[in-house]
Amino acid sequence: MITLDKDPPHVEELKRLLPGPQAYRSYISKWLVNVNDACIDCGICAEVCPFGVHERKEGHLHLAAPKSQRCIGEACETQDFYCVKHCPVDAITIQRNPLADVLGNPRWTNEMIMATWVMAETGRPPERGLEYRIGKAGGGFDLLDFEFPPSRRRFDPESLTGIDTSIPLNRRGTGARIDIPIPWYGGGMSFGSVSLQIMLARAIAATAWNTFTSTGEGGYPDDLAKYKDHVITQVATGMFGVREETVQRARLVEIKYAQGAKPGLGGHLLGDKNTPVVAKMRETVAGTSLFSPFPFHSVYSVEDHRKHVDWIRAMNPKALVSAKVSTPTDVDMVAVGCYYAGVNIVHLDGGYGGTGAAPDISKKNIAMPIEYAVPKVHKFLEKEGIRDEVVLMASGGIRTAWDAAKAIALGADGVILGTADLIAVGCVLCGNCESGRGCPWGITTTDPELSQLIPPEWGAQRISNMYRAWQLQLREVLARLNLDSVRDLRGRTDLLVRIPDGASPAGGVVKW
Amino acid sequence: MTFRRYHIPTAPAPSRRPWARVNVHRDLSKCLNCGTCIDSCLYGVHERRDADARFMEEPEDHLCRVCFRCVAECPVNALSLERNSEYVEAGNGLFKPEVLRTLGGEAEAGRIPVTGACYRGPFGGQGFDGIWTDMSEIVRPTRDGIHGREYISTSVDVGARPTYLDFRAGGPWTPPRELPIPMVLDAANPGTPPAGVLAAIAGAAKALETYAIVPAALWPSLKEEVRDGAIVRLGDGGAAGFERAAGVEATYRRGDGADLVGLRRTLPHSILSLRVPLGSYDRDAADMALEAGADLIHLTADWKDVDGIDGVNGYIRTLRDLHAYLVELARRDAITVLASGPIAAAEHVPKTILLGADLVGVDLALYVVMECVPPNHALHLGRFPDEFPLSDVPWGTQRVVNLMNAWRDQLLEILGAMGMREVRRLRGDTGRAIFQDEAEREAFADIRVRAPAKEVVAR
Repeated sequence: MITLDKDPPHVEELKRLLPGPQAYRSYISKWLVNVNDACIDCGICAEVCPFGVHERKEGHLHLAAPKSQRCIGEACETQDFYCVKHCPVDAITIQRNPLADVLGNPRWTNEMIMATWVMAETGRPPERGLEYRIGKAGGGFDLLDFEFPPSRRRFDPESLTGIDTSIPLNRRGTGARIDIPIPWYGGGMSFGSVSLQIMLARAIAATAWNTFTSTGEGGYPDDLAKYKDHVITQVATGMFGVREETVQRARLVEIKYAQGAKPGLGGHLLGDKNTPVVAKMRETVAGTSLFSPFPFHSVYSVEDHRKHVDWIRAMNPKALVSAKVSTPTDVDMVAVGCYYAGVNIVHLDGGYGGTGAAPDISKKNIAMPIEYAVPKVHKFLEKEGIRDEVVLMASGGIRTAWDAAKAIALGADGVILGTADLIAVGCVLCGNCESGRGCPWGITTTDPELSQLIPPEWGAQRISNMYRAWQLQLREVLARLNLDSVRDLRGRTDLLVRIPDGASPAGGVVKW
Repeated sequence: MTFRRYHIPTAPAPSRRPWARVNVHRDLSKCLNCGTCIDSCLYGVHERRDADARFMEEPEDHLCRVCFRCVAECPVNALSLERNSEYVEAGNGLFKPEVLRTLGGEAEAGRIPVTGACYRGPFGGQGFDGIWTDMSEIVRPTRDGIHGREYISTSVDVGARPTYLDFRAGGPWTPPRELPIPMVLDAANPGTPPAGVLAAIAGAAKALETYAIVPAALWPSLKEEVRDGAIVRLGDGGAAGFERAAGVEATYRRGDGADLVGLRRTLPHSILSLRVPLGSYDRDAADMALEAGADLIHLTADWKDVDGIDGVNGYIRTLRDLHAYLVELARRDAITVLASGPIAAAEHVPKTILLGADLVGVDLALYVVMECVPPNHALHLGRFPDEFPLSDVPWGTQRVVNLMNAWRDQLLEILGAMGMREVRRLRGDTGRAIFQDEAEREAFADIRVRAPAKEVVAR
């Protein structure tokens, strides 16, 4: 386990693959393996199953309860090692788990969520039986795919260490040079919307991978300062907890104009979650709902925006500056404006991103999805001749390594993750983050009791394992495309294909 | 005249039969009655029996918020969740189960539905689902200057807004009526409402200071105090006796002109509306309404016509044609366009308006929030039997009032995000909308389409 007590140790050591087991007794699995009372504990099933569903623990008379989460279900029926066929007393039944139908949605499918848990536990993508590459939303990333050149080679992702997945975060001639070894970092999730434990977990994982995570707009808890080289200070419209020293300690400062889940509205923290500690950090009154304004009431033009960037630079001349913006129809103009205001990173947050609380109407109906915004901005920056001076980061609905690769092929340099990090630590996307005591799993809550459910070291390990699995997948994609570096994938729309209308379960693209 | 801020009086109005999204199943052969689930559930689904605390009570399904924590913590795997088939099968093509649930929540609390985590639905789609509204940022932070939500106006006008006064036409000119919300309640679609439903809708319209459209046959049963908020949909009986109503509505039939000019002469100061069912729309209807000096042209659809996505697409095309035609004639402000039929959710209000309507009519959604099965079996409401009358009229009124407040607040959020200060400016402003087919063409134009023969989803 990664430990908190020591100073952040060497990166490679931290990235070592360690188990991050599920914290709870019962799994939500795709298949349900039942062994009834007829079982005579002969142990044949434990011998035949190559996945470890059935197990006899050393010295135990009875077999352990079957581990349904490891079962590959229907795909096993034709195999020699199908346990149901081998059982001498017909005690084993395998069925689809009705629970799995309740989990997930067209965007984050149940299999995608379960696969993310597998990655967080093992550090590898699931071997088979779970479709983790593509969702069922019927558009965007789910109707895009890579067209791989035909090849007989089989790649062992673990051996592809020669493929470079790093990206620079500063492409301008001046300022600090920061490269991150994986083309993603963590997006802003404020103290208050998530617990301190989650912030720590993300910060430890970011440190391990030499990438970043963001404070979000709720202030910079002191406990995070230990990881300051890997924590982005966010300056948002509410200015909650933004102080000179928090800007000065960061290597990267993010100015948040808008958030994809609620474009054109400010941040929401409903009263229930504004507990005394949160209120202290935000310098507000506990129990009141906090709505950040929109927009910055001091920014009504690109020139005003420039003034903000200059403020940051005046406080911290070494910091790189990122502008987090949403995706209106003129997002291309916004991006160019950000460039001329002097930012290093333009962070586009598309409409389908996560949130701790947002009006449902704003999650779907305002501003365009990231899949449309990235190519629009990429092409426009190219036409302006400034594409290679800014870093374009995409977020808002990046669910998998495959989404990340597609976003990069559409024109982004890298991506920013939020929801995926949380799913790695056990989020089930139930959406009950916003009120009451907050998240029943202790993720998006500051309830003193519930937040204890996630030990930061365990959470960091889970996130770190997921990053490792993502890197493996990204390398495999690059290898199959005959690319040596993720930097060569940027804007390669020629490597993408659209899956035709109607091929997706949700019905495909609009025609009217 | 003193200034009065428009305010919608909301109050909690809980459902008559709370709805469970899932069935929480407890396997009694496994359950140890240990009570771990009681501690793990934040929402009170699991309780011990009052009568005998050694045993667990049946789970309260409707309280479940599908977080899976009890399932995961149960030491013996005795708990499971299953989709509630009644929930899954409810509604129709337009009113999907999630839409019904959202409406129920809005009617109960009167507030904007707010949840955590990301958007859960399909990427886009057809009809309204293929439209996103724009927002304003940095290069154009707001269109109308700095303002808070409380300064955004949702008022619209009913009636002609002449660009100049014409004294030659003779007779006094009736100025347009201002409605504080761009929504009217259509109680005449689908079919004739039961007495309780009619009373609740008429009462709600009064409280909201908007209009209710009621069938002429039910005029006698309307209470005295709500009559001036009613627009009477005329049947065969003519317009006599409706002088005290806010207005009358005649139905357009292709080729067979309703005597709109005659009606205007009979009721010179009432609102005159021409109802145009989707199937009988043509541009002659607009000509006829303009010629007679009607105040409203009401494009509506039978629920069957907008039950599927093709119907909604057709409706949208028709509405855009009507708006475009009026603009073409340079008479757009000479008449108010009311659009009803496919309005099932809050986001349909701004989207319908930006497609060209001035205001929308709410119809089937009213039955949903009052938990009554509508006439003609227009909607299957799952847990409600066909005979489930609305006896508590004030409750029904409150539910409708709550719904309208929630929709108005959501309209304000959209307008605020767009940087607009009044809903009148949204009308027909398709330039501030993102249409999926256009956005997709622009974004993915250079990406090839894969030959369909290949297996694409499963790899």
